Order: sequence, then structure tokens, then C-alpha cells
Amino acid sequence: MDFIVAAILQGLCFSSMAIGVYLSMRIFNIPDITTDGSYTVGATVTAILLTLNWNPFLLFPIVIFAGSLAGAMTGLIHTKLKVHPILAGILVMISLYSINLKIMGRSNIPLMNDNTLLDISVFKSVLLNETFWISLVILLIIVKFSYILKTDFGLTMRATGNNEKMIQAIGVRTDNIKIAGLALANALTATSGYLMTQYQGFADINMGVGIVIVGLGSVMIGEVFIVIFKVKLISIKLLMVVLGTVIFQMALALTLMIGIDPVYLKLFTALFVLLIVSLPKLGLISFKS
Amino acid sequence: MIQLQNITHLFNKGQSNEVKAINGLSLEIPESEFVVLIGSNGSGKSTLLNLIAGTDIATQGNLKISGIDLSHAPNYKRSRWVSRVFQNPTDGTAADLSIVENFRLAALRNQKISLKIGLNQKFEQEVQEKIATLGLGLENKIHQSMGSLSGGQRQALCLLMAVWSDLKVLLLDEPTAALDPKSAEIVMQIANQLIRENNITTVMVTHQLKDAIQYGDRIIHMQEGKIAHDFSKSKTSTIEISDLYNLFS
Repeated sequence: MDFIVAAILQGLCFSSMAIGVYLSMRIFNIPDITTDGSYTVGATVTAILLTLNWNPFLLFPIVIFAGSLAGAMTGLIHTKLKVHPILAGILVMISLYSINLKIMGRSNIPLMNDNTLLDISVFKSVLLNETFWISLVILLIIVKFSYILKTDFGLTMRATGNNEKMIQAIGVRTDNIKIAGLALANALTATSGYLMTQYQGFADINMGVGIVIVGLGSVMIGEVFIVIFKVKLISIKLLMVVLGTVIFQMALALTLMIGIDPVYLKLFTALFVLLIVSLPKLGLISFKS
Repeated sequence: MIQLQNITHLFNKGQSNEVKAINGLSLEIPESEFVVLIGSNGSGKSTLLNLIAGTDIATQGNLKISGIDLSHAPNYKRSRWVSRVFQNPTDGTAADLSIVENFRLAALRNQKISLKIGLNQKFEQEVQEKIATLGLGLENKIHQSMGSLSGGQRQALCLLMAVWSDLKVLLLDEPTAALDPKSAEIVMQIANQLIRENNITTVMVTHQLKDAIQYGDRIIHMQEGKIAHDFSKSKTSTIEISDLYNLFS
């Protein structure tokens, strides 16, 4: 049972990143691999500032800023230097590995003191506290982000991924929209790093490895629900992505529960995503609504 | 009013495959005139349209719209004055977005894009009313995705979107080339109606000589990047399709 609860909370921590992946891959049509790096950026900033006894609320904007900076870098390299977005993302991701390691000073920072966001006591039970704070952050993100997508700026973002030529014809510099969009996506990813570090109680230089795959798999599970329930409202779509993330983590927890060596966790993650990706080809489900 | 002075445009400048697409062309189009550009493939008519739109910047020469010098302004800086309808309706609309969302984007052509929700009920109503004037029965489908419409319907909406907010120049790039004959006719009628009602200065590229005669105030025949023939208002009424056809030989 604990296993399942942990998987749900872990899924919620990841869901901000999944929403970021949804933005870059689905709305912008840009496969953004910066994710692996910016997730660790969020974790690094959180761990370092918490060990310096910063207030977890105060350091949150800094996490957001650091994540968006990483995304903006990828955006700049892609739009201004005309580098393929995958390569641009890989370049930034690999640079961030060094930067994160330099900032952390070692490969792992455990959080010894009880001054994280999840330690702020609202309920008696530790579990309820954790659930409350993580859910609150995710809820805030869904509300804020679905609002942004409904604004004129959000509309322009969605159209940029859909028909760039048209958006240029109405006088929008799509380069700027892409940079802003990637910044936003990676700010969301860094938020996941922020939550996860506090939930698991440490930051690790390798915690971001392959995380973009987790995001992609989660988004695709979410899209299955979006198709099944014929979801039109953007806020509900984002909720489905969160649901997809939780289900993904539960599926991984189950594989561990049936006694598979944790060493194979990444392998199973990849196989699981491969399975979801190939579902339409196998004729089991269609992603096109 | 559009003024083109001594425009020359080269592709692959300085290379062995250099092409002179436009060759010292000068042209003045008065306010609210509907000009049709005809000419064989490679005669430079599409390039000329791109130069007015700012998608390409002329290698040499001056371009003014309503007296404002836009010779070096890229397309996103001209969009305040210039609006364009593409040959393929899929180029002019975002298929995954709804009709009303597409119209909201069109309305943003003259505006600064902000973090405000501009797509409110008042705007939806305005879109419904304007779409109703097209007589295509689309006014109750504004929340449907643009991609679910036929090419003709999308092109008709593209036209309405193009003239949604203030503009000085409307550019039509073979607007009916991708449509079946019936849809093409409807789209041209709608275009003409919108252009005349709003007195919009228009430049249209087309291969449909019938449309050129029927709708154009002035027909310009281009050849090798130059104006070969310029038929003014008084002449277009007496001209026959065969006369234009013979220019292509």
C-alpha cells in the first residue's frame, strides 16, 4: 500500500514536468530535451538554498527563474542560430550537467534539516501534509497555466506550433514566442525538481537522466484519456496529463512490487513508453481526436 | 496607395545561378484599386507579391505604402498595413484551433499581444455576426476546429480574417488555385464583396483570366520581371479572355 501512495505522490511531483513536456512537444511541436537538465537545475537550486536555510516559498521563484533561463537558452540556440531543437536541447542539457555539479559541489546533497515545503505543518499526519503541499503546487500550476493558454499570448503559442507561417503573417515574431514557450516549459520542469527534492529529501546530479521520457510517456497516457473522454477544456486536459503521470508511476511501482530488480527501472520506463507510443501502430488506440 | 520605385530583386545574388526575378520595376497603385497580376510561371508576379508583403526584401529600389517608406521593413513590421491571403487555405489558418480562435488571432494583427483574455463573449458574437454575412451557414460552428472545414470554407474565412482589422493593402496569392470551380467562384465573389465594401487597395496574383477581367480594375501582365502590359480601368471592360491568353504566347 505504501508503495502505491508513494507512487501517487511521486507522480504528482513529476506532473509539473509532464505539463512542461506537453507544452513543448504537443503545443509547440518542439522535442525539447533540455528537460533532463532543467529538472536537475530545479533540484540543485532547491537543495542548495534549503541547506542555506532559505524559506521554501522564497526559493520557489528562483527555481522558476533558473528553469526558464535554461529553456530560454535552448530557445535562443534553436531560433537565432538555427540549430535543430533536439541538438539545441542536448547541448544545453549537457552543459547544465557541469553547471549543476559545480553549484552542488558534489554529486549528492541530502536535506538534513526539516525546513522543506512539505515539513510545514498543516495537518497532523506527515503523509497528509506532503499530499496537501504537492497537490497545492500542482493545482496552482494547472489554474495558472490553463489561464495563460486562454489569453491572447497563449493563443499565439498554440498557433505557433500549429501554423508558424500564419502567425508570422499577422506580425508576430515567432522566434520570441518559441523562446518564451521553452522558458515556460522548463520552468514547469524545474518545479518538478523543486518538489521531488523536497519529497525524497535529497538532490542528486543524476536524478534528471531520462526524465524527459517519463514526461513523454505521462503525456501520452494522459492523451489516451483526453481522447476517451473527448476532453475539450484545456484545464481538464492538463488534469488528464497529471493523471497520466500518476498512472505511469503506479505502473513502475507495480513492476518493482512484483520483484523486478530496481536496476532495470530505466529499462522498464523506456519499454513502457515504447509500448504506449506503438499502441496506435498496433491498432489498439488512436491519438488523433 | 502603393508606390514601387525602380525595384530590382535578385535570387542567389553573386552566385553562378543568380536570377533577376524583378528587373527595375516601377508601379503606382492608387487607393482602393483592385490590381490583378497575370503572367507565365517565373515572370515575377509572386516575387512582387512577396516583396510587397515583406517576406522578401527587394535587393534594390523603394517601396512605400500610404507614403510610409517600408523598403527595408520585414514582414512582421508590415503586418499593420498589409494583410495576405495564401494560395492554400491551410497556410492561412491554424487547423487545430477553432474558427473563433483563428479569428482572434486575425484580430491581433494590429495589436500588441498580451496576457489578457481577448476571446470573450463580445468577440464571439462579433465573429458570429460577420461570418453570417458570408452566407455559408458557418455562424453556428465557430467552436468547431478550422481543420474540419472544406478548403473553400476555410479560404472564405481567410478572406474575412484578412480584412478583420484595419489594413491598407490586401494581397491575394492565387486565392482560388487550390479550390474546385464552384468554391472558387464563391470565394472570388466574397473577396470582391469585402474589397468593394471596405474600399481596400488589393493586389491579386491569378492564372484565372476570367477572374482578372471580371473583378480587376486594372490588369498587369508581367514578363521577365517587368511590366509588359498595363490595362487600365477603361480598357478592362472591353478586353476579352482571348486577348489576355495571346499575351502568354
